[in-house]
Amino acid sequence: MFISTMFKAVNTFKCRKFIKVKFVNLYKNACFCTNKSEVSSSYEPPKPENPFKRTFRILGNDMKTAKNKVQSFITKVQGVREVTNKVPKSPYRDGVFPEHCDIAIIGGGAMGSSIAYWLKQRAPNAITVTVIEKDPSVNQNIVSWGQYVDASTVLSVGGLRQQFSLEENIRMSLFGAEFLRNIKQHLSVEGHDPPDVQFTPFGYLCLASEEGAQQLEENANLQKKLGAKNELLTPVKLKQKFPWINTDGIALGCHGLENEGWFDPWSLLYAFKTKALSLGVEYVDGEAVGFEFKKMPDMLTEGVEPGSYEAVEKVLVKTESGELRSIKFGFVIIAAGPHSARVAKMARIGTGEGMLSIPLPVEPRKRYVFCINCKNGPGLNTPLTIDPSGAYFRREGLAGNYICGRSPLPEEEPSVDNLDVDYDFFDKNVWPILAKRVPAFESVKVKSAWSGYYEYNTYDENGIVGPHPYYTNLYIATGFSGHGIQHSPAVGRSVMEMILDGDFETIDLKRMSFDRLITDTPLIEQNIF
Amino acid sequence: MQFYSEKTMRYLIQCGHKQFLPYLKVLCTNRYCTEVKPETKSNPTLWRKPWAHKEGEWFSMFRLFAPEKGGSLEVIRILQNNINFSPQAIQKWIKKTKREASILDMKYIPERHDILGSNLAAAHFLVHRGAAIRFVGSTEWIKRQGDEYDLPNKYNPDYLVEAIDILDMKLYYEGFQNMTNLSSLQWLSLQNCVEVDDWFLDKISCEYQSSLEYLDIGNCVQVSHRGISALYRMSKLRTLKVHNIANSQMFQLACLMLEDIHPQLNIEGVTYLDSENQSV
Repeated sequence: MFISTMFKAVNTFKCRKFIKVKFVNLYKNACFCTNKSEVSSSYEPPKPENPFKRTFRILGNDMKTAKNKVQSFITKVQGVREVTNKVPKSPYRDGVFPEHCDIAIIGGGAMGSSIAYWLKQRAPNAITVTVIEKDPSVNQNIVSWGQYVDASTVLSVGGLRQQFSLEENIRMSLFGAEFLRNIKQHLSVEGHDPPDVQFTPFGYLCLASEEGAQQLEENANLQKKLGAKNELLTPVKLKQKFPWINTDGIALGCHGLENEGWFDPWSLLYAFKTKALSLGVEYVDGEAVGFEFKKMPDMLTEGVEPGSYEAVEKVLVKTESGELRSIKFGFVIIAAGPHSARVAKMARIGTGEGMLSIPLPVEPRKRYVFCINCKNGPGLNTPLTIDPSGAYFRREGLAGNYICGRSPLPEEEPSVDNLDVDYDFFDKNVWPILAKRVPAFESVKVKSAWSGYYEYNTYDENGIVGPHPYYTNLYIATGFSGHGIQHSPAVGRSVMEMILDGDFETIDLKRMSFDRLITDTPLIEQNIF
Repeated sequence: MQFYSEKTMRYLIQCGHKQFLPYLKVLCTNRYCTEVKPETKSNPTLWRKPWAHKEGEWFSMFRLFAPEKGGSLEVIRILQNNINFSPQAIQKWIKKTKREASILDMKYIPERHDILGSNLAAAHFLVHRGAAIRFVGSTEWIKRQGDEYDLPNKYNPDYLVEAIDILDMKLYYEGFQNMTNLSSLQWLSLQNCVEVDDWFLDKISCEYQSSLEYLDIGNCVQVSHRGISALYRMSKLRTLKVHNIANSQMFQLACLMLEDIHPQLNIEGVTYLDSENQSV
């Protein structure tokens, strides 16, 4: 009897040790492999929670909420009003950090929120969508919701135009206009005011010198063919319509007549986010700092050596409180704006081998916007005017304020460390051109200025939309180089079609895929400012 | 017996499918229409094909009947949604369906414009739905009496629309597709039409910028000062009526500035309360 218990004890001891060894080894080999890139290796992935501890934690939370419910019911019945210390309201939808989801979107600006909205409105109960956004609130002391500090969306000038030279851009802008016109039907949420983007339908006026006149005319014809309305104006007619203009050096102007103007990008973002939240999208306040990979030697894909495929499986998120969590996803979409290249590098895009050696060529570029006041400036008949040199200006309100700016030349690019404004830029580069084009701007006063980042695509200044050729579950929607906000509804819809339908159904954005970087076919847009 | 390659077989099946699909009245799975043909034929993704399409890969004939895409998402969504039977939800649904039906009613029908030409097509479109039309050279308004109205049935170049009065018709933005190319339109009244907002004015100032002389948007409460500013493009406009919507100061300022740049324009319905408030 004694021997049998001894035997059992020794056996269980051996068993436990054996199991422990096996379990630890399995865990080590299972999910992740050490990443060679500098960014991810500085973060250790979080260990999975002990299942027993997790069960007891969840049961404990349930007990607490039940107890609070009973307490509040009792106090209501008794009619006693007192400040109850409830369980602190968790920022997450289910009370716990979302550890897995179907589709993870890295970046919660206009693009990310638009994609989340379109996905959820098509399949509201079929998929779970999580958006990871790193700066949702301005001031940590004041509990104000959703004020993005240096996201490009809210710092944008908010223009909407169809005057592009690429068919895809024109179509996306036309759909953007239609979407904004019907925004109340698309993005209304019960209990909230209907969204209002305050669209100002003033049109765009693109001016071209002798060299650019031919290109401008071709663009205008293409836009007319696709349904945009514009008119080409000779310098004489320009002077007739817009008496404030000085037509020196101008050979042709193209005036957009319909569906062009500017709107409030913050309202659009807020509308997208509110609607997405009401449909069940989870917004996580945190920064994506790495990915976890999974070896899949049975996977066969074009362009990949058989047996060497590694899929992205989890994204590592550093939450506001500093802790490191991981989210396991089915698909991931990189819509991180100017910081997309950094996120892509975490997924080995640019640091790997073969197809993965081509990096995502999106980098932040700082652009200044100046608000000036001119007493006798151009009146109401002022569309957003773009000079051949790239300087632009438009009206703001009705009190003689104008907004202007210019893309700097490549050798004058300002540093992107911060969002400080260099007022010398206005004096040297913007004002001389504006004063020449509009004589009334000889005497202006700069009232204020701000700056924001373009998500600049250094390859060909056009967006990159579509799946990555190596990864079967990674999508990219970034790089729009200054005209992302007007394309955000269309891109959101296209990414949704790509994921849920398998192909582009409405606007064909095949030419804007990442593959063009591999086959080296740049998509040059002739009308970028 | 002819042997087709797998690709042409699939193509033939798909063509046949497309032909008899409308007769089956199958629920259209694609709510977003319009096919797109790119201007250039280059497709950068051509270098990688799905593994099964590569040369040398074997596939059975059963693949002809396999669907290219998965099951319809619309069916899944309908099955997963709990239908809300509360009275408010039903009322909302009725309102929404009515609105969608009205907008569909405003669709552009190419045959109408083929047979009648732009002016008469617009006339038929409007009069049938309750508006009134006046042609160039005539002084009587053509209206609908019950279901009857008196308009030619074939193209007649002598009939040019000069004036449109919306009366009690509900005009949506999409209806303007049927009112294009009206080169002699001088007089337009959209009074009491509640759907009119800034986008309407944007469209009007584009379509009729060279001919319109009279515009009445009284009681169109969705119009804001931004829409009024968009009327700067209309060089021939003489009278603009804005009764009952010119309440805010911004609106009055916009009207003042519009009158500044178009000296022949006269805006009625605006009372400029405080002449010292002009800050321009």
